[in-house]
Amino acid sequence: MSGIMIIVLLTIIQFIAGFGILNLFKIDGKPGLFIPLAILLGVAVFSVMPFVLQLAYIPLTSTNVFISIIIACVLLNIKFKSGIARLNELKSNIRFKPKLYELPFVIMIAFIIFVSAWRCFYFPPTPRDLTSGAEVIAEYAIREKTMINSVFSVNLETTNNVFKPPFITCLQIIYKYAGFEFGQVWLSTIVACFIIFLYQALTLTVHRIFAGLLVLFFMAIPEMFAYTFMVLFDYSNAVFFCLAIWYLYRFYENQQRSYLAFAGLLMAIATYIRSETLILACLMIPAILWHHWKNKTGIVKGLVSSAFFVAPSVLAYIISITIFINRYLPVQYNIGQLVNNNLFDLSPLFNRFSEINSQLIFSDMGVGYYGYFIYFFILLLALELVVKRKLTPATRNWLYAVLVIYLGFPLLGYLLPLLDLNNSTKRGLFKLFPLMLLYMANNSLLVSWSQKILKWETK
Amino acid sequence: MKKKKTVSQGGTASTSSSQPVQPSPAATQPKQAPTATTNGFKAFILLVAAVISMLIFFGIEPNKLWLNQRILPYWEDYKEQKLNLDLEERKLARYQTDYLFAKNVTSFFEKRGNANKVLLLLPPTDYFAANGLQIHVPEPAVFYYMTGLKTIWANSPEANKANWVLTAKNGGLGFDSVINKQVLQDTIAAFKKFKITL
Repeated sequence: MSGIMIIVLLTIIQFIAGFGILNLFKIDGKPGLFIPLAILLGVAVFSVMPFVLQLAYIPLTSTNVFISIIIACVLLNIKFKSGIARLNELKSNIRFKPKLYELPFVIMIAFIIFVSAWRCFYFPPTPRDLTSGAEVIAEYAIREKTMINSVFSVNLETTNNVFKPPFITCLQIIYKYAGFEFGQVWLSTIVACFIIFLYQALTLTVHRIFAGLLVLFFMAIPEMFAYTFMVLFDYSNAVFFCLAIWYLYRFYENQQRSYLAFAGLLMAIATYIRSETLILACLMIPAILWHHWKNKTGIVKGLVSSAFFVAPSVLAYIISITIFINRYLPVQYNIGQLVNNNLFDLSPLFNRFSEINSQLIFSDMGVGYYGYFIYFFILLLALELVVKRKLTPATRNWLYAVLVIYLGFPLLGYLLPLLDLNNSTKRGLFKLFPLMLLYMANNSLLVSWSQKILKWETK
Repeated sequence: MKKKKTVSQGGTASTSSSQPVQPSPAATQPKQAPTATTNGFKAFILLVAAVISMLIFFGIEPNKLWLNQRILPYWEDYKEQKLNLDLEERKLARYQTDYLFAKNVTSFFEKRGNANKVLLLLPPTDYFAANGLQIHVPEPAVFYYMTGLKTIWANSPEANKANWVLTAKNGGLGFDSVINKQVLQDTIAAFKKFKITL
């Protein structure tokens, strides 16, 4: 079977798995949002199954891995009848009629995704974090049918990468079994689906010309683009973090608990990918409490909602880090030692905050890393404040999320000294960009200009 | 379920802004509803606007650099790469001398048929540099990934378990099996004088 056919087949299975989750949580969405979201969830399901087998000490043979995926698909689609009805509804809503003027953007974005996907397929895993961690474990898991394999008998003193959560390892195992020598192409699935999701999300509020231009701006963030074909944790983490925030804000609008629980699930996936995301999830709690307080629904409900949002992440952390590392891995790894033991000294917090600003954001190096994306965000925010003199609730929400990352990373650097500036923090800031993009989508100037263009266009 | 259909449309199309935003027609309108149409001339004007805005976007320096130094060269790479799918060459293209070095070292033991019994003491990169060899030494985990050969750094507490040692000899690589434990200890001490870089 050719590589493309395998990708198509895997994507269909991912869609089925993700569709089942969306059906269970009763999440609605226009096809442009729903389909990429379902596939992204399917990738997450894939990333869990070999891990579940490993926890049960079931050998990671190709048969076991693929049977477990099929079983997961069946179980997730247990509400078969409502699923069929939802699928019919989805089919009836599918319309693919791009406007003439969005074609230049669609073609350019598709071209960039293709170039990235090819590179992702063609080259073997590159970052040292991967070849000394998830990738080497995956490679030997295929040979030895277990993630707890001979890699742990190698001299590992210069790496802690073998102790990262098994998200990438699991996906690498599946894709290698599927016939991709270097695995990796799952990253292109994540990238393509996320870009489609973002584009569709933007078109809900801004004109398609703005949406195309903004997505292009987002894709052209040099450092972030590099990680669309170099597999590491941060791009996928940013994707699921952003989706979690998106569905948390959907909950703000529709007050349906299932949306809140779904946002919690997405945050748990983000935590499964990068464990320190748990702290960022906790930083969202004030926003949830504030939402309930403002809507006079009571602080108790606010606390319950916070628990809905954070508890799945705590569970993901406990299983993938506390239990897996301490109970399963044959090598000792003291996570407690990674935490700053001098928390009363706040100078590292302020130093890191200062370094992020002076080195990673407001510097020539920062422009090299992130282009003018952050500057453009600041410009739009300043214009909105000057011209409109107020922020809408939606923009305030997205700005809060941006603030969680902007202030959260100095905090993480302070709590976990191993989280360095030039690698972990530089890539961790990727989480800022989709949030900034979705702020832009709600920027009242862009929204009002969009309305004017649309009015003129349809007059 | 049909009743739900209208709910779902509203739910999805609801904007994240609380102000009255008019979403794009495709986002909100049911299939049966007439879609807002754009006449050909206006669509053309918007097309021109889209093209101009994209040109301006790629005229801005970091975006221009990104396009010219990343996307377009990658496209050129693709045209060549699609004709050459050999796995080893792809690994070599990416890992370059690290991979060559690891393969060469491993092939020495494979020829002797003892590669799976070897624990090779590796010198740091700086040691080779001091001996006139420009070799970057991959760390043991990466070495194991590339070739399956188990290696160890001198600063490991288990370094004295090494049964082979790699050194620089006469401008090339020297392979010595460990016969004398004291010699091994001396070699470990000599390697430890150099900083390990990853």
